[in-house]
Amino acid sequence: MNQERALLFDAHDIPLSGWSLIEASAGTGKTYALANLYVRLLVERNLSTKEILAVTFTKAATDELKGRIRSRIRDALSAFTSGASDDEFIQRLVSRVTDHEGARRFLTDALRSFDQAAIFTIHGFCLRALHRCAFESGSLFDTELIEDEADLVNEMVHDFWRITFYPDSGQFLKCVHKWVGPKDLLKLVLRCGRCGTGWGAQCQRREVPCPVL
Amino acid sequence: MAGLNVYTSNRLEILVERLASVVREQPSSPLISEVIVVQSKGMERWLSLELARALGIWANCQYPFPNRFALEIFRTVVADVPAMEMLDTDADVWRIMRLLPQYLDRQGFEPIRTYLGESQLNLKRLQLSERIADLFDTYAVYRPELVLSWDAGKESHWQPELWRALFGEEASAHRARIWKLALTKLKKGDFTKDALPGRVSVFGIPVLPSYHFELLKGLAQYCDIHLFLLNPSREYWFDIFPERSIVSLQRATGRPVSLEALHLEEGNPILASSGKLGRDFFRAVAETESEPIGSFVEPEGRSLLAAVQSDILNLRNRGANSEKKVIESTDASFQVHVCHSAWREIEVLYDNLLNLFEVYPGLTPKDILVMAPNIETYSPYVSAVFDACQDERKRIPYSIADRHAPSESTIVDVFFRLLGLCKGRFEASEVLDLLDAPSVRKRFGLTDEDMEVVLRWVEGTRIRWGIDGGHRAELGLPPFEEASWNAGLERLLLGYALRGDGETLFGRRLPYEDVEGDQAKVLGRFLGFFRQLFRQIREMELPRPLEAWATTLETLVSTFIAQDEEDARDIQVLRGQIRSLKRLEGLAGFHDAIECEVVRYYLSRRLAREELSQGFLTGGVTFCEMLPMRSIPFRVVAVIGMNGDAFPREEQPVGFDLIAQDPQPGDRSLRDEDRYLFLEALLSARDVFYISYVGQSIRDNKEIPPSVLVSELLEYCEGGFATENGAPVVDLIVTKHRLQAFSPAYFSGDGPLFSYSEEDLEAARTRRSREQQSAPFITRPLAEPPAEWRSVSLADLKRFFQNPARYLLQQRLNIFLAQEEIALQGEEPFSLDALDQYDLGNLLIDKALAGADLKNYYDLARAKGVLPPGAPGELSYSDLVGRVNSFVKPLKPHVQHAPLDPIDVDVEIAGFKVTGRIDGIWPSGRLAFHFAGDKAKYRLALWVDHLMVNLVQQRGYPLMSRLLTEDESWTFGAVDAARDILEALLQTYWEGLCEPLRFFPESSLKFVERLNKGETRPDALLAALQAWRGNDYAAGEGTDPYLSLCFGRANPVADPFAELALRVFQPLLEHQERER
Repeated sequence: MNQERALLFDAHDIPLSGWSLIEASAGTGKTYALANLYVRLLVERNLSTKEILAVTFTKAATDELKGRIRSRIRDALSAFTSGASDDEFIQRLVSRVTDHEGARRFLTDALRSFDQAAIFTIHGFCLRALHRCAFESGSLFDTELIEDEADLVNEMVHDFWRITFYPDSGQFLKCVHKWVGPKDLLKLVLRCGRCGTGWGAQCQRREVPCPVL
Repeated sequence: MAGLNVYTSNRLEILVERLASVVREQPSSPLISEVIVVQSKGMERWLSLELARALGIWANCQYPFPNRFALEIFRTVVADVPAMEMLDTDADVWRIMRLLPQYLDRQGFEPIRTYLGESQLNLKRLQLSERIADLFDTYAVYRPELVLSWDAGKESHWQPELWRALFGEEASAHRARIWKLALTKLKKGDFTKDALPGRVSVFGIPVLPSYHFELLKGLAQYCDIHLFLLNPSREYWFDIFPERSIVSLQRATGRPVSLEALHLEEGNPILASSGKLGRDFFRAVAETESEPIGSFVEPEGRSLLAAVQSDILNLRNRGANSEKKVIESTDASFQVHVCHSAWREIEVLYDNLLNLFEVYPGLTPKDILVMAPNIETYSPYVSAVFDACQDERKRIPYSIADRHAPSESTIVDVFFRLLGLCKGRFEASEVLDLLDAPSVRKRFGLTDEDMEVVLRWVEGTRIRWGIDGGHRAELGLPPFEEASWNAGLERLLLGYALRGDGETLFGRRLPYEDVEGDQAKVLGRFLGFFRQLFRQIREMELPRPLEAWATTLETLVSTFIAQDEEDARDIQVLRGQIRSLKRLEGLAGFHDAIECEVVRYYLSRRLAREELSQGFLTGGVTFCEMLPMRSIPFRVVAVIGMNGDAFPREEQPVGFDLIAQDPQPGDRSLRDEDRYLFLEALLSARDVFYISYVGQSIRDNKEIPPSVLVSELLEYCEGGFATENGAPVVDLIVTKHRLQAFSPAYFSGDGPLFSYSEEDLEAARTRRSREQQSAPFITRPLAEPPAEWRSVSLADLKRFFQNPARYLLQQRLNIFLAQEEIALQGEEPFSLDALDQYDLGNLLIDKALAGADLKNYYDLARAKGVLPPGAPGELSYSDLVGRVNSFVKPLKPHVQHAPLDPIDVDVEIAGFKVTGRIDGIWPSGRLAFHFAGDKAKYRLALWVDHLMVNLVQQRGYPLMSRLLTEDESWTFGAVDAARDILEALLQTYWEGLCEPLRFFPESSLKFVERLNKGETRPDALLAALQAWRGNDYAAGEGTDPYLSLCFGRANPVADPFAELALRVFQPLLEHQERER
């Protein structure tokens, strides 16, 4: 992004290469715009669903995105078949694209291979990358995503407490023990939020020391 | 008559008839086995039942899977085929394991070196070896020419190098090499033909790799080969794509187009989308000379399902080139159910099956097949829902097939839990859970009741985790002994051998007092378990070679798992896998010592493939996994779990998979298999095709899209069909379900939702009636108790006022609400908990009053296991000593003289007889103290004693009482009207024996105190209610289980709360004075 200048967004004109940051308030149609761009990528760039990555935050948002994009592809396909649509975006697309048969072919192909569409949550995408590239990234082939790392963090905090204070003379602890216990340390760690899932999993295998401790 | 015969049909039933007539026309000798190649046990079972039905008798038939069949042919055709086990990929895994380190430094092995990294973990090496072995096995079948060229020395990156290392050795051969040899021999004919089977049938396999197909074609020169293929369409649908359209498409788009991207443009969209797998194979079959004998039939009936099947059969696209077909509004042949969870899917399935039995005459459970992409996810729900039905008329018999050892067998589960302890922390809960497993408990002769004792011991001796200090040191932690198994077990043993006084230490251990003489046996067995457990699990921490592992693990199984009749098969399977380790070491020549986790990983992978039960076609509803070659016809086929992210599945190839890098038609693809499977499932349903999926968010009902295959099928129906009344056809097919089975919508009688569950109906009704009004627990007073209840002990009277509702429920109704179960804590105490503080504090107060130096009791406190280890424990102790000292200071002056003798009470008051003994009286008065914060119940208990002392007025005894707590101290002065007050209390007691009283010490006291301070009655009641409810920091009185049962749903401070509070507390407050 060389230019800091903000442009008014138009799903038709926006270039399909380079970086674009699209900023808008909730409910103004970001998902809608994304679905339109997806259709353009299929029709104008002839990409397949495997080749377009869409990442969002939550599982629910991912499901919604999948549903919206798929129904958008269907709308476009029926417009390219009948030659007309009441939807403004699709109508413009139909009149602009000359090869209707090619468009139909790629849209049909996208629908049939939609199970391979790369629409993920951030975690889901990372896990997939890890699985796909286990060999290249040197990780175990059966790496799993831990949904809740609380037990691991707990154990680490407790071990830290044990190692630090059990053999200690108690001088330091004497001054602070009224205010600091394992529970407080745990709160601190969670508040810092630095002990992400990835670290948690590796800490458990004792390969990598936890960055927090 | 040798030759290749191909039979195709859209119905498996017709193919069976064909097969039967082949057999009937040319019966072979009864002594010669019929050979039918199938691809699943389910097909085998179905086929033998059907053939028996068609021929009257069916016996002496072999059903090899394709690989097994190929191997037998190799053995006949090629003389020196290595034993089956030499071709076993299991041995290859360990051979590669042995070879990798030797080859690491060679050129071309850089990627392997990078992957294994510095640490060279054995687990990583094993996982890699496993992937390579699987891949090599796949190459041999799908790329035989490639690996044969490797044999000839072509290519030099790490895969061919490793391949040559693996198969270059004298003794070893691989499937591709033998295959090639067999094909050559078959062509030349230089082998003994007598041992070849006379006839080979291949049944119901939708796709064979060319590896097997070539072999069959070669065999066809010598024997009868019959291929029975299920073909979805009678039209020539598998070669519709002419070459020119590929070229023109490439020209138009300016980029190369893979076969994958091309789809059938004409014909039926469902077939085009899902049929790829079959299309490739049918094309291969079409290239042979044999003309397929097709016999196709139109699906019967006018249902939606029959129409869809007919469209596929005739390669018709109903929406595009014909009129919409009108479907009857009662059509139930195709159903889609949208649920909130897997559990709900099964509940919905249950109700719908019951409905189908009503709607389809003659339908029985054995006519129903239910498939799920992952049956392990669903099987617990299936058991839960299908077993829950108590009503014999509504019970549906079922069986679950395709479950694998670890999830199905408790034996295998126990075994892996044992292995899981290795290098772990031995947490109390995981060890006791293990001991609690029936097979382990039985092995050590412990009963249910024994386990309760054991649980109490473990909790009482404060065992939390870790074997002993040494064990903790090995884990990299300070070597403290507290809360370890060793510390706890020694306390138990001491408790049995040397009965202590609760204070005297032996060594540094305090004998545990709660071991009764007759529990010696339990203790012995319990200790036996631990000795064995610690010894054997610790032993397993040392790495060893495979054969040694086999010995170790066999001992483990025989030590910990009871050899029960009913578990015999599970144990046999488990032992079989363990013993195979021994064999593998020899076969693979792999003698390195490996760690426990490596063996565990390996065994878990092997056992995960073991199927313990058949469960297919047992007479009930069959639940099974969606596996290929399951095209067996059923009247009702249900596919559940059709979630967007669950189906079709997609395999994640490893980065070095050469097949994935250069795919060719005919390659295996899980995704294509799943798609074809869905098509087969659709075609094999005769009456009903039922789909369900999780399509609504369990949090907010948000829509979740189903599998793409479901969407496609629904869209096809939408485009090609219409309803009688003009409503969208999708509304007829799709049912959106509610979150709960007891939603009133299921019982309203209109709409598409219905339920057969009387329990859920009851629940729905109850919920509605609850919303309207809430009934109290006890609706009307009990009858007055018998006269003997008028004799009451002082202790009972005091207990009554602590909690009248509890007293009533326990004493008169014998209702004892369960105490919270003992929950084993996972860690040693990090601070002195409140209850321990109270107990230890009281002990120390006694000692301090006796003049002892509290420093001397540190060891005792430590041995009790209540203190945190190390410096934190010392600090907790000295804090407590400080608190005790400041508590004792004001107490001491009152107890410096000897106490007076107790007063024995036996008085009559208003028809009541009160007896009891009052002690704790010193020359300065009756004294009570509690090492805790001030509480209403302390004052109340002392008040009863105080009144009694004032009533009897024994000579020489003072008439005042004193209460000391950590934050308050109170005195009660002489009471003139003691008899009247006691009479009022006894009257209250009598009332409380008939109905729960709205008297709650804390809340009631709060109310009276506020009134006395001049607050209005409503304000005071509000304060009482707050005490009842509690706040974020302290639980309110209302959380008491007895109180919440009696008053939880009512207003606790309604009348006669105020009157009772005043009656009990007003006199008390009038006579109390705050000290200090």
